[in-house]
Amino acid sequence: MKKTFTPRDIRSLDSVKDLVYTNAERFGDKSLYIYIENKEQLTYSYNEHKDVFNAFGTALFELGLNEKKISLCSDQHPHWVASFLSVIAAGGVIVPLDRELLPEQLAGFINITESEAVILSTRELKLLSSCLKDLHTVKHIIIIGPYDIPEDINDERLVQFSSLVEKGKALIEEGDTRFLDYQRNNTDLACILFTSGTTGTSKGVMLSEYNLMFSVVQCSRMVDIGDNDTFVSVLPIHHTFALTTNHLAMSYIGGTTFMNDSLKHTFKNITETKPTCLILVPLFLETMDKKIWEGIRKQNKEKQVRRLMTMSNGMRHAGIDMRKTLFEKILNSFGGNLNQIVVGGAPLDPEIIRDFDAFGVTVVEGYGITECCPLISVNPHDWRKFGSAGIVAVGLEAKISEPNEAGEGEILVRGGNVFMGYYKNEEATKDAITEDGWFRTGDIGYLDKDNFVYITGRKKNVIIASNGKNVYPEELEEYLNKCEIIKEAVVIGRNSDDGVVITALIYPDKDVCGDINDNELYEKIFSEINLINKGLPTFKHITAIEIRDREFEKTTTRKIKRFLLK
Amino acid sequence: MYEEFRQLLIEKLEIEPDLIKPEAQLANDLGINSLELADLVLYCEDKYDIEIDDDALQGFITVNDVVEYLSGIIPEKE
Repeated sequence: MKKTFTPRDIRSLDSVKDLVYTNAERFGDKSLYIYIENKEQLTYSYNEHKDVFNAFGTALFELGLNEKKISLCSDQHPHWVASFLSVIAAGGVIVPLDRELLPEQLAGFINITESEAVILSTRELKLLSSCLKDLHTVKHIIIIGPYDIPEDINDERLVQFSSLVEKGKALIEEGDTRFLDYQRNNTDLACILFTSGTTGTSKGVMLSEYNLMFSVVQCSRMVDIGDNDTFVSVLPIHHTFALTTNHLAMSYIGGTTFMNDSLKHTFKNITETKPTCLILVPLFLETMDKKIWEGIRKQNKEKQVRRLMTMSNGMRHAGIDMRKTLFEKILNSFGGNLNQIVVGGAPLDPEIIRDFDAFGVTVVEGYGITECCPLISVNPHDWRKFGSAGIVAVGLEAKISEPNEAGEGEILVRGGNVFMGYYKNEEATKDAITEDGWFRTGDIGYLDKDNFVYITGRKKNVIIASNGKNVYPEELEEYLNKCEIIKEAVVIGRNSDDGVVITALIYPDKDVCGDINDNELYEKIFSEINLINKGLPTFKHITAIEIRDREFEKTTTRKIKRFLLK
Repeated sequence: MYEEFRQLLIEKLEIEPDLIKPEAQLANDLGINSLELADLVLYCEDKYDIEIDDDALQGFITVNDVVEYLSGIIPEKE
């Protein structure tokens, strides 16, 4: 009999209000989040979330910030999620920003979106302090988390999130129903997500409330998680993979999430909080796998463990699953309850999936893209195909454009989670979405007879780092081209055994360099690149340089022929 | 401090001793990813009873960057 996949039967959602209110009704005082603030562990229930959501939404009306654009940048915090949802429910547009951006980049995004308020934590406020005077459209700067403002930041626009929540609660008690009664059109613009670091090279992905809620339900239906599941959220919250799956879909199924307070504490928090499920990018699994094997090798037990894995796999074929007992020690290093890891963002070595599977943790690999909010496909937990990015998600159609003889071509998708277009960039939107609504993913691949997606290449220049983040070569080239000694630069990702190496191909400006030998030239360029790297998050660091002695080959419109560079 | 950090890299991350030099890049030359670096930093915090700001991690590109940072912060505690 032909195998089929039946998505779980879960009610659809109309709006973020529907999500928050339904969740509070179903899960009430259960913990939605556990988080650390001022070194203290705090809990935040589904009911509290609804109250904060309503109160902050009401305060937005009071401040005249309903139906306005508002930027949001902080580390993960329950109030990050509440403000994200309240701004949308108040008819506005939320602009989540990457906290690893440089101050001038953050200010650039706040300005080009004409945000009328920004929601920041104290850390981001300090980071932005030198640019505050340049935020001309911003009327309010709202601080979430601990309010620890240095004396030299004296800006009258500053207001504490918690005081706005108190204000909103008081207004609701007095009968203010402006937010509670407000209904927005769920197909209007609700969220803008920028794809890279600078305003010059980044594209703003426009999502509607409908896109977001469609995606929440889609994730909940495709992945086998339930209200007994507990999570540790470690991915950046502005990342659509983390936002939709680890925060919004997780809440829709009634889970509880521990918010990781620092990259440094990731493994400690996982061990101590004993999650049942993790939502990760390959970098984490690669590191976890490496740590497991290092530990095994230190005890001279590699042969023994490999034998046990073979034996256990054989027993499973006979219907006997002893993994929890045989690999208890390994599983305990992740808390002991972990049974599933959902991974996406970049390709993962199938060997690692097999390792985790043998130890007793199911790795569910998926494929997504910000423009799809992000889910395109996922391997169902009971029907996984190694090497595939999974079956096309429910509610989404996929097809291959102009397939070659092997059936490979660009992957096109259409459905409720496909974005509205790029912010103020009609040309890019036209290129990305066909007239009949198909989104060109830029990824090359094929579909098998069961509608599983296989990715074999990439049409766009984007480099996918193993932490799942996209590195746009154009952004790095922008920095390189500002260096006097560089005449032309192209950035590419080269595959190596350790993953993708971000490589700068440099054509130096010989007039500026003067009479120096090759070693001196290399040292000079190397030190310029080190300076650039210091201002960038680690995943964007240029780690290899190749110097060439002639300029790059160009098209008739003077564009570098990138496809010639490998 | 350099020698101590070098030993840490060898023992904790099993880095080939010959590869470790002050100017070696953590990611490119030694293959250390951001998560491993964060884990190592946590180990240093416990070992030296110091606190290293998350934001400082971004500036750690070479072995020397970490050594200089640690050398700068440890005497302050003593």
